[in-house]
Formats: sequence, structure tokens, C-alpha cells
Amino acid sequence: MSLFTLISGSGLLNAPLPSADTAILFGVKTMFIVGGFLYLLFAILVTRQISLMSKTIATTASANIKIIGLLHLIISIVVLMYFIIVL
Amino acid sequence: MSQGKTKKSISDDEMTGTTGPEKIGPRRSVDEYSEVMRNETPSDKCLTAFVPKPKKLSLDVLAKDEHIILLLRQHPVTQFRVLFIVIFMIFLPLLFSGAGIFDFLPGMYRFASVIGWYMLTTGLVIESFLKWFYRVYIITDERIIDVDFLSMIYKDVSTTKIDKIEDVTSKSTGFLASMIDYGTIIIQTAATKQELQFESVPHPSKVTALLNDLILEEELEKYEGRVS
Repeated sequence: MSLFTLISGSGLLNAPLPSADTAILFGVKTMFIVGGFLYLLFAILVTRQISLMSKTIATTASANIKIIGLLHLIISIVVLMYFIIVL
Repeated sequence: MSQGKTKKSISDDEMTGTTGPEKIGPRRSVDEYSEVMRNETPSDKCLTAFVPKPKKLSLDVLAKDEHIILLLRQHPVTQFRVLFIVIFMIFLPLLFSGAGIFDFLPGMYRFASVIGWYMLTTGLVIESFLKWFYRVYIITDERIIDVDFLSMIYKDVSTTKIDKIEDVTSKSTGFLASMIDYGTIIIQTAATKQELQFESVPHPSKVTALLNDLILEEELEKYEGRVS
């Protein structure tokens, strides 16, 4: 049995080619995921800077700013998950 | 305090090997020598640009007997440019949806792009706020501390002792700066060191007066022998 017979028997050659729309949407989804990942890195950086600066200057607002930074980080994780799973 | 007691304190400091100018006499409160600060009430507000005698504020670079007299940030009016950009960014998706530019994308993708856009807007708001909040100019009874937080990856803390100040200049240029009373204060220190700038801070005349009072007090301390 030749290799060609094996492949044609498996039905791989009969699989439909992706349409132009599908390719565009795949490209858009990739862009969303890359953007979401970069944003997540930014959110991590923000959280880290807040933590460092709170040690340098401790005010009554430091705790609230830390909470905002953490919320921002959590939201950016959720958004990245949304881009990966739902799209 | 008697002269003899002062001399004893000096010798005690020398025995312990302390370096640099050490306060050996009674340090006067800022209200005693600065009229500007006498008229200001201690503040516990931390989200303002002019915080005299802050109650709940600590710095990691602060020495043991050092007291914060004034905390300054850039005047909130300097953040109006960011505010306008943010308002524009908030309404931009509405313009795009009205024009139907992204109609070729499925609904889910359009929703995702709106989420992504508002995340970017949130990022801009947070970054701008942190840059404003953590870029502070602090005047203590010993030093001037300039904490620069120019971006998410750049932080710089520089300090200058009050007795190293040679010249203090304040500039208030433009209609808005004159109306709202904010300006830039340039502090010239010893020739080998760079000058410090308090950019767009509120009440520049008060700050300049305070700095002059502090310089005079430092000189008086040296003259009266309250500093080694």
C-alpha cells in the first residue's frame, strides 16, 4: 500500500480548504491574543511598580492603589482568557 | 541649652563615630521660623497637589529625626490634556459603530475589539494617574527630595540638603498658570551638581518663601552651634 493510498483513504485530501474569511478571522484572533498578552505584561509591570512605589512613599491611599492595581491585573487576565477561549 | 552641654554632645557624637552634620541642639519646629507654614494647617489628604505638614506619610529615604514639611505634586490642571484624550477615547467606539467600519467582523469580534479598546483606555488612565501620584517633590526640614516616576520602567529619587541650595527661582508663565497660581521652581545647588526642578507645582511663591525660610534657619543653626 502506497503512501498516497493511505492519505487519500484517510480523507485528508477531501478536507475543505479554509476560506479567506476564516483566514482573516484567524489573523484577527491572533492579533487579539498577542495584544491581550502584551497588555497582561503591562498590568504585571503596573502592579510591580505600585508595590515598589508604595514602599518608597507610603500614604493613606497606598492600600487602595494596590487594590486597583490588582483588580486591573485580574481584569487583564480575564480579558486575555476571553480572547483565547471565546473568539 | 548651655554651651558646655553642647560641647559634651559633640564629643559624644565623635565618640560614636557619627559622620555628617548631626543635630545636637533643640531643633525648632517649622512653625517657629516660617510664616508660610504657620498659616497652613496639617493635612491628611494624600490626593492633592499641595500637602502641608502631611500627617500620614512616610518615606523610606527619611532620616530618623527628619520631618516632612511639604509635599508637592504637579497641579491637577496639568493633567487636563490626558483627561481630554481619555474622554475622546471613551467616545471613539461609538463613532466607529455609527460609521459601520467594523461591520465586516462577526459580533463577537466587534465586542472583543470594544473590550480591548476600553482596556487600553484604562491602561492610559492608570499610567497617567500613577505618574502624577508618585511624581512628588518633598521638602523636609533637612532636605529636598525629588521622586521622579516618569514611566512604568523609570524611577529616580534625588535629594539635596537645604544648606547646599544656592539659589531658588520660581517661574509662572502663561495665563492659566497666573490665574490658577502654579509654576515651576528651579533650585540651584552647588556648581558640580544639577539643579532641581519642581515642575508646575501649586503656590510657587509660598514654596519659594518656605525654601528661603529653611535656608535661613539652616544658617542660623550653624551660627548658633546647633549643628556640628
